[in-house]
Amino acid sequence: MVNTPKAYTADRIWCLVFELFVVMSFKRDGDDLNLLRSLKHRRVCELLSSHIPDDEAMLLKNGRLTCMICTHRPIFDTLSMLAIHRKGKKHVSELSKYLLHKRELDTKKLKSEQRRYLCTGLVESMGHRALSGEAQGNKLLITQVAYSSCSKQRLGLQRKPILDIENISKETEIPGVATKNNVFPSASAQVRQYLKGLWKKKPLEKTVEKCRENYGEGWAKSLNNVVDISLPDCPESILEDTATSSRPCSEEDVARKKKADHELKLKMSGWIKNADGKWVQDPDVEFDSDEHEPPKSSD
Amino acid sequence: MHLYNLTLQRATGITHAVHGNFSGSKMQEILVSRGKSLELLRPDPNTGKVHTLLTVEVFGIVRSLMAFRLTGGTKDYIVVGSDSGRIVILEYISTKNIFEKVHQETFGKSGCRRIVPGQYLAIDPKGRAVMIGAIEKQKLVYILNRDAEARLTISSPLEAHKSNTLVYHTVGVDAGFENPMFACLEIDYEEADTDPTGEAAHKTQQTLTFYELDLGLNHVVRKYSEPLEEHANFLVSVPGGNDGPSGVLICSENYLTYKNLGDQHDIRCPIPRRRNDLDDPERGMIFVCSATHKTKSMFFFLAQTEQGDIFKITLETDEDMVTEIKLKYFDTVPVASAMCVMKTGFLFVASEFGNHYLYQIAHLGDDDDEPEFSSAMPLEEGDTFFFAPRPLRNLVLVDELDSLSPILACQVADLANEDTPQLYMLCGRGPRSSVRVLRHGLEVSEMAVSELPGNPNAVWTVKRRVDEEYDAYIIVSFVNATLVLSIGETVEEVTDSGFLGTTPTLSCSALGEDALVQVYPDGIRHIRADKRVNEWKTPGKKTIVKCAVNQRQVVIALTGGELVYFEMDPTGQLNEYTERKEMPSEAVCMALANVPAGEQRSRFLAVGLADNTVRIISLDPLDCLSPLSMQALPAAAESLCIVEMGAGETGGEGEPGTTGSLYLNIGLQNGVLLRTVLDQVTGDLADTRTRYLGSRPVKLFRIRMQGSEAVLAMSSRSWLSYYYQNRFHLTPLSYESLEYASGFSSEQCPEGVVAISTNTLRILALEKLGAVFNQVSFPVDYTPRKFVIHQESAHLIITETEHNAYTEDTKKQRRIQMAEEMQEAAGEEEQELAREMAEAFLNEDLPESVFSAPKAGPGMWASVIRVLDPVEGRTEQLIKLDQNEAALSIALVKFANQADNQQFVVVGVAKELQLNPRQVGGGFLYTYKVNADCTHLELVHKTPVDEVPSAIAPFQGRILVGVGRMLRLYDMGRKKLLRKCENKHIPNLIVNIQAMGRRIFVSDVQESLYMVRYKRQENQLIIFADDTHPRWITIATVLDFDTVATADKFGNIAVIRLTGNVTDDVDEDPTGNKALWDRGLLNGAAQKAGIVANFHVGEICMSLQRATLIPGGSESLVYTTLSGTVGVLVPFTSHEDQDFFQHLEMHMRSENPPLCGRDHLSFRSYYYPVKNVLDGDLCEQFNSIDIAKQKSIADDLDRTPSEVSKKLEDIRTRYAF
Repeated sequence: MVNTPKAYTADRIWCLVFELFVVMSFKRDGDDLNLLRSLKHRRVCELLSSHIPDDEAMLLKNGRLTCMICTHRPIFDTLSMLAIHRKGKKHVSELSKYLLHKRELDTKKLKSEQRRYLCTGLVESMGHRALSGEAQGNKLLITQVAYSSCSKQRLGLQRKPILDIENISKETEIPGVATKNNVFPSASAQVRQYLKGLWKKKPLEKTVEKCRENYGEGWAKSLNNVVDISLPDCPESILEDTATSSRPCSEEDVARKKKADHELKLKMSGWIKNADGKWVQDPDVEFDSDEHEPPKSSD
Repeated sequence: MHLYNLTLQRATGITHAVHGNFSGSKMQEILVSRGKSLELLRPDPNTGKVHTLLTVEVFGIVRSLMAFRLTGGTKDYIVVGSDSGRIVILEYISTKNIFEKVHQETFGKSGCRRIVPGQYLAIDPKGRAVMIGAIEKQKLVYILNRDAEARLTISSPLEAHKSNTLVYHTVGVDAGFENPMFACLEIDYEEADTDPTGEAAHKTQQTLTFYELDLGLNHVVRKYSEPLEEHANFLVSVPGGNDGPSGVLICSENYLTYKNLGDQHDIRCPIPRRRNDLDDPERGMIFVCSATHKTKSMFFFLAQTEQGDIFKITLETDEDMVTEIKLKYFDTVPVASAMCVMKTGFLFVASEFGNHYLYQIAHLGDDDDEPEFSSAMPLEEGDTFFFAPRPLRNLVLVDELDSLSPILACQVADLANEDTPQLYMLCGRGPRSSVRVLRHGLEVSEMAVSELPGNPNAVWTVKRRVDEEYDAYIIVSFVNATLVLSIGETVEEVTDSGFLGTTPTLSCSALGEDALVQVYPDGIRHIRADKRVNEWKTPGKKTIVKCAVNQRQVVIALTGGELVYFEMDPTGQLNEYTERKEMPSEAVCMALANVPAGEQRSRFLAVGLADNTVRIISLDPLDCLSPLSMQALPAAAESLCIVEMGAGETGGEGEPGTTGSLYLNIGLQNGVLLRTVLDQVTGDLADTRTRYLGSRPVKLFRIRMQGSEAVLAMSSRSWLSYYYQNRFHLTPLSYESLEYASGFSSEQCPEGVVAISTNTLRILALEKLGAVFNQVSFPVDYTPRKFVIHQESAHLIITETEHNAYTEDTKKQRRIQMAEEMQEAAGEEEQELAREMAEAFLNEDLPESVFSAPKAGPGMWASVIRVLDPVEGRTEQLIKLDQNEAALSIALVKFANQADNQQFVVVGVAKELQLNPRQVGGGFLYTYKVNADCTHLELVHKTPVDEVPSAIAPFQGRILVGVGRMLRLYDMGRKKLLRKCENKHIPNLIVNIQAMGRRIFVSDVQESLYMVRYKRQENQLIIFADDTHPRWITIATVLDFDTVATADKFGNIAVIRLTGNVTDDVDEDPTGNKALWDRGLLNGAAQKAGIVANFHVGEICMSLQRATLIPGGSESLVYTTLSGTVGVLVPFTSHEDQDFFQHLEMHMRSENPPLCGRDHLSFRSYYYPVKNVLDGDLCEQFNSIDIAKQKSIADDLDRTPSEVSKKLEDIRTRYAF
């Protein structure tokens, strides 16, 4: 269609597209132009519908959609219906409730993390979670313990948590959070702010489209189940990395890769890192009798 | 995925065997059941070879089989008890070579059930009634009779049920012409069942019960019942009426007892035992099978013990009262599941495991020095007689029928570098087990090889007279000479035959009654019986280039494409036809069919021309030498051959069978063989089948095989095309390549082939027609269990493990100990004698393969690890394990932390393993280092484990071991293997581990498959999915990353697949706070595999492998079963094919219901509904059903019958043979 002469009107193109559609899909028996027309209309509506983030609606198994914001989970047949619903009063009020609730949850989580830290001195392993998430980026070495200002402080200090009991009374909050908590923005302002940030999220259409394209094949697998017949000496993380980024590796990268390699090898043979970052033997794993220290990296 | 099931080789193990005159002729046949097929065998009384007459798949399980004959009849009928809930009576129709269902009476539910009859059959020896019994409660009696037209009739069933009764065996008692009587071994468990203390269970006695069919009142009464002292296992009916005393012999542990109704006393005789047997002397001895031989004047029984010793049992009578049982050691043969004594003096032994044998009874053992034991000899209770086993004296082995059963493991590989892969199998049990190498091809036995003075071009055989049985001359043609050899006691050159020796020969043949003809380039030489010679010379400078000859006709092609036709007139003169025929181009080959019986001439001549055509020319006097039809070929023809194939078996008395049709076989220069139907009326060519044979031009020769014509085709490999049991077979010969051949018949070799290969003349015999594989067998010591292939050196490493057995060392120790005891027990004056006896005992060497191995008792194991070169059959190394160590698993591994290419063999060994209930005193993983050419294994270390190491698999440079129910990952360590990781969530016992990429497929003994992923970051093995059905897996194989094929112990094959949305990226949940609904049902995995295909094979599959069986063929799933079946599941590549076969299967199900009354669909859905698998075995029965039915089915499929059979042949040859 690159060299289409200008004489082709928009109508003609539509016809071509339409024909292509008809030919490529399957043979129709009757001439149900009405149905086709409505399908076309729906498609156009979908393309023109406003941006709906991926996590605010869900495609159900039967091909319908549901709104994840509204607690009563209304069901819609098409994206356009969902879009219309999202503009409605009911949805907006539900959205404000939802945001409020989400905020509370976030705070709660942060608090619980803080409390755990105070008890154990350990920060929840972010790296572990990050492995599967997209936030991974090009980070090569995923450590059990993510960076945390708290843990830096704690390194070397083996204080008993009980000693700090006065400092953390039940009511006192973490300073930063506490101050923010006091000045809660109004609901409508929150909604506004939230709506502004919506465009950054992954749109639902794409997910829906992909889902429909691979209908019956199981799209989930094609998305994230890359067949991995990797050799034991090249760890998954590297494979993933090389697969995603094609940029040349710097020397630093190579060194990091090697280190990652080595660590993976240690983990596979039963060494675990303790709280101090030292390698210790897993008690459930057997080692050669003279193997007290983890083997050094090859270089 | 849709699959098509094809059986390449039917089961070879025999479950039942009966003999009788099934064809109605004087010949006796043996009918055997091989589990789910029936096969009729006929031992040839002259040659002693066993030929198969007919094999029928019955799609049901044959549970019992009996032959019977109506009083005064000459033909035996067959009664079959099966899992169909029906009694079926079959008749063998020899003219059509089929079994015909005479009667089929339904009495119960289908399936092998406890109270539905079918397990036991008993026939009234006079053929008046049959009793069919269940294991529990039910017994039905049918009265057999004949109607006014002498057809067999069957009555409605008469019940002889007794509840709370278990049955062990039933026989028909020979009561002469009094009311029919049946004897049953029963036990009444009612009291034992109701007694909570369990005391009654100990007291309950087995009873011998007689049931009488009152023919007058038409009902069955339980006439008499008597408790037995010993627990018996089977009954033998004693001839009665005018032939003997009637009654039954009861075979029980250590004793044989004669019982009869009336005032007959019991006669009891202990079963003799081997002298100085290594077996536990406390262990009882039982008879396991018997055969009765009865003539008008005498009768005797042959009964076999579980050690294989046969005793001849005779009864002494005094006025119809038995006074004495006499036992005499007869011979020792492998333990049988059934024995048949034939009228012709043969003993057929259907072995329990391994090959079956046909023996000739050379002596009846009446007048030899073997001691005879008698019930009249005084013996104390518990004491018995002793005898010494010895090699065969009364029996002579005449034929051996190969049996693979049981196949314990099989792998397809091309280790011998032959481009067609071989099947490597572990077969047999105990000391009779073997490693067998199967190759596709017909076994060729070489009768003679002789060198010739030069390189011959061609060879023929001719008879002196048409009515002579054997050939008289072998004519060998060289470049410039012809050599004539006469066949007699020896083969020697003769010069007085009348053949011209100074010229090469184009063809020669016997002509008419007693004349010979030789065609050579310059003419034709007609040699009359009185040595008068008529010569016909070629005109001018023309020479004969090709010729075709049969019994009455000669056609020659001269240079330039001129055909001259000669025919023999009634005076025996060879006359030239008045006209000659000019062909458009040079003739490159010609063929004439044989003259049909009772006719003057063959009506067709086939000529292959240089313009890539084959023409059919009429030889009818009305339109002589006029063309009838023509076929264009893809390449120039090399050779032609017209044969008549597809004729039914001619019956025993020479009655004509069904006539076959003519086939024109065309061998092309590009190595392709075409087979075309030649219409016997019009001469039209139709229905061409094509097959590539090899790289050289195909030469064709007509020979005779088992009384019908066959074609020997020679390319780079030799093939035999023949019609056998309603199917065309094209099978390669497992022999070196040949150049020219001809049929050969002499006294030593009635149906052979004489062939030339370079400068040798060979006489060959092809005996095992119908066999797909020829096999080479290498004996091994114990039951071989598993093996791995060392690819680099093509060696096999085999574990052999025997339960209930002593190792060599223990045996030796026991012998020495027994010898010492012998000497100690002897008195002062017998010392010398005792020492001699002990010495003789120590030196005694009876091969265990015949005399069976001593039984050591449960929990006693012997194992070896063997390195075998399967091409040469040489054992490179034999590692003997200690007593009670059972080698159960083996794997060949390369460890990542060891030197590159250093291979290790890891063998899983259980110590002091008790099978039921399973207990184990620990286990070991033996790690052996393999040297580069795999001739030596060196023990590196021994790793103790706490459970049975039942499965090992290499995985990413380490090994996965199933230790009991634990799945463990081991790495190589210095002093032992190091356990690195473990999963404890497999429920029972791991039997198989397969790995692909990061996925591991673990089979549990009773809970089907578990899909496990190894997470390297966490060093964890995590189950991420499992199966929905509890399959009792015997073997599993990975088909692709998501798909696994499994076989289970109930005879099913299933293909299961992880559907698209299953992910192996799951976390284990040690904290238990995973959502309840996310944890899966009943502790199963959250994700489930789906079922792609289900199929009931009917036999237990022990191996599954994805492999190509023919070079250039596509991959298929090859399975082997315990009964010795080799089959393939072939994937359909097109929807049309699948649709076609689906419809064909559907029509076959309705038009050709299985012989034993089991519904085909329900048989194939025995445990799980059949899914996506079509049954080729049923579809291929299309070729053997009635022509009218074939036509109607083909019409429904919009095809012709020949198109249908072509499709059947195509799908078979595309994947297999």
